[in-house]
Amino acid sequence: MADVVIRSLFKKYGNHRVIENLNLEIHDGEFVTLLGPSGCGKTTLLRMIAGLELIDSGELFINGKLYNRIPPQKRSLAMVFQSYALFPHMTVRKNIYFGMKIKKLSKSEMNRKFEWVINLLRLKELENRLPREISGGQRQRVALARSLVLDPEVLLLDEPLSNLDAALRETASEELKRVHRQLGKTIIYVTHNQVEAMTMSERIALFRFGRIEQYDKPRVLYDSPATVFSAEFIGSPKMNFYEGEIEIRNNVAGIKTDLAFLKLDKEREKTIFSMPGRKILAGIRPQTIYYTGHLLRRRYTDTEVEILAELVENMGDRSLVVGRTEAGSLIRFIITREEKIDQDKRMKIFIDGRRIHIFDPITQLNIFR
Amino acid sequence: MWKEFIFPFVLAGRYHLLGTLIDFYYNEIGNSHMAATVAIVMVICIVISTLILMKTLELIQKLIVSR
Amino acid sequence: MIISKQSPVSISRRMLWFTGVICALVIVIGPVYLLLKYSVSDINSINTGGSPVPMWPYNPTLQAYVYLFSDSHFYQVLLNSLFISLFTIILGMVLGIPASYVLGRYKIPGRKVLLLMIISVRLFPDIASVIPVVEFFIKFGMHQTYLGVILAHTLLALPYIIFIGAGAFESIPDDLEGQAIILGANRFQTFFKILFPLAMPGLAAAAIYTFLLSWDEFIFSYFLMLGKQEIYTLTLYLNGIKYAEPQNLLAAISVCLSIPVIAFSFMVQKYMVAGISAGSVK
Repeated sequence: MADVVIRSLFKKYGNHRVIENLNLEIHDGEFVTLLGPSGCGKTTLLRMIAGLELIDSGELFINGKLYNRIPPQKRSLAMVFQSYALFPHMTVRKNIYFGMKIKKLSKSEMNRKFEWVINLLRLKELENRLPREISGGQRQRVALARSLVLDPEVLLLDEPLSNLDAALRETASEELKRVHRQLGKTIIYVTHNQVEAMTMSERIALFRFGRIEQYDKPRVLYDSPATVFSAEFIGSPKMNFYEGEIEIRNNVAGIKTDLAFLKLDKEREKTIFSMPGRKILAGIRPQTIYYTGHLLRRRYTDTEVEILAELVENMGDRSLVVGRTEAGSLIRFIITREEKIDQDKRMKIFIDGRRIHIFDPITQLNIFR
Repeated sequence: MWKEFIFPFVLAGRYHLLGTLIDFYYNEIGNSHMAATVAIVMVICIVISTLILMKTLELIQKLIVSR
Repeated sequence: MIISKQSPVSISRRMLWFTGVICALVIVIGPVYLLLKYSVSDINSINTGGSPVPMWPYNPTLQAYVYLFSDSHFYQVLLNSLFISLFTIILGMVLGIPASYVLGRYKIPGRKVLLLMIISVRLFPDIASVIPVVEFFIKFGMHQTYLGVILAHTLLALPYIIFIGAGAFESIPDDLEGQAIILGANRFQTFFKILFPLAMPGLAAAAIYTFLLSWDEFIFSYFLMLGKQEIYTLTLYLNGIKYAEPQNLLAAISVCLSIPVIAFSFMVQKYMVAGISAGSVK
């Protein structure tokens, strides 16, 4: 039973405001990721929750208890550092027993918990090895084991996968999800890797300069970004952006941009009909652009654009194409491996109007949220 | 070099260098004031000679580099 | 020994270089060799062994060593030196470890200045600083006592202990401390279970250095103990009999004095190298 409530949290180093008026609520048993670029304050927030950094002002509640003044030793939290922080002079076994010994648990209980966590994380053969004798992935599991064995209310993870190579990362993240499912603990996860965040979390708190930009389920963040920053940060490859303004042509409202006159879906078209001349920033995800090679039916809400394929980047199962219009605008889109596009090929692409995101260039907010 | 004590002490006890002079004044004559004075003189000598040495080395370095 | 390959450097140039190296070696190793030689020489051969500086012991024998190790006085002196060195280490560590822990892991204002001041104490030549120290000690009644010498040696060793110790503590990653704290350890437990064990290699090096410093020490011991033969260190003992005893005995004592130094120096070197490479935690 551990929900985390953060209210009006502030933190600064000298004159630099690291965390500003932060509010966040994490439900019991939820897997929440703090996502953001380097230096945005997410690790600082994690450390404040852990007790390693002082809270300048604001409140931190865990399970309804005010945690601000409770020293880190007494908080029933566990944290896994990016470097794993395994005690190099102790065996795996001693590392895992460390916290239990401090808590002065009985021998039988310690052994029982040890056996349980060893089996949970498949560390059976590594008991008597030293940290320098085991691999990165194994070290990560030991760090996790050491934390879980104390049955913490909340588990904090600071970029635990960033030191692993891509293949290991996949298995490790699956394992983390499995552990979460099995134990049902509240997990707060920090990363700058949006793919990790998207695949693992129940909700993502997107950070920017010490504030939360958007806090939603991954799907919502992807389909309905609240700000330009959210739209830009989430999704790979990055979103295409075009400045433009609302215009009415042939009694149809759309967005006039350097790229093309963008059409939207019926509902939104009705809304912007009453805002001609308004300046707009349009965002188009590469994945929402189609090419006549696609066997999908064209909708009247699609915008047709003629381009020259300037660059084709093969990414394995798909390719990224950079196209340029006659007017000079660039657009990036994805094609699957079944489709073949040669460089310098003239072609027509179709932008799905239902999936275009509209932002106000000044407030940077999504108009339709 | 200024501060060597052991070698001069053992090998040439009769010929006093600054270091052994301190010992002479202190232990054989019992005049601690003179001994302390000699010590201060020694420190000053060391400082001055170190500075001179450093300046000379800089000079030499400049000469070599400018060639 | 001459490299058979023809190289651009002229032969004469290399011969010159070679000769220089040999000379340097002779000058450095010569005294050591003579020392060893004399220590195993027969007492008569020193005076009558043919040429003034015979290259080889005339009649190699261990009689000097045998004599030494059956002399109770020698044992007493040996014990004195050992006793003083050991206690210097103890006192030095007790005082130095907490200091180096703080200086190594906490950002106190003036930390760098403090460290600089501590190490600069040792820039003063020993004989220059002996007078005030000894005067001070005499006023406190520590003239010709074990305590005085131990204190003086600790004074000499402390800057090194603190410096090396601070380095050892500083090199421990912060994450380890953070992790221990989150796992529930208070400051004491973090220190004794995590920080201290990890700083051990560095501290061990500091301890050995202290031992060598104290064992070798002459100047301060001389000024502080002159007159009271019973507590003489090995260095003073040697000094006291340098004109009286036969050379082979002196040489043997010198060898005894030097062996711990050489042995420990080797040990420290190995430890230091191991400490550096195992220091990479990840």
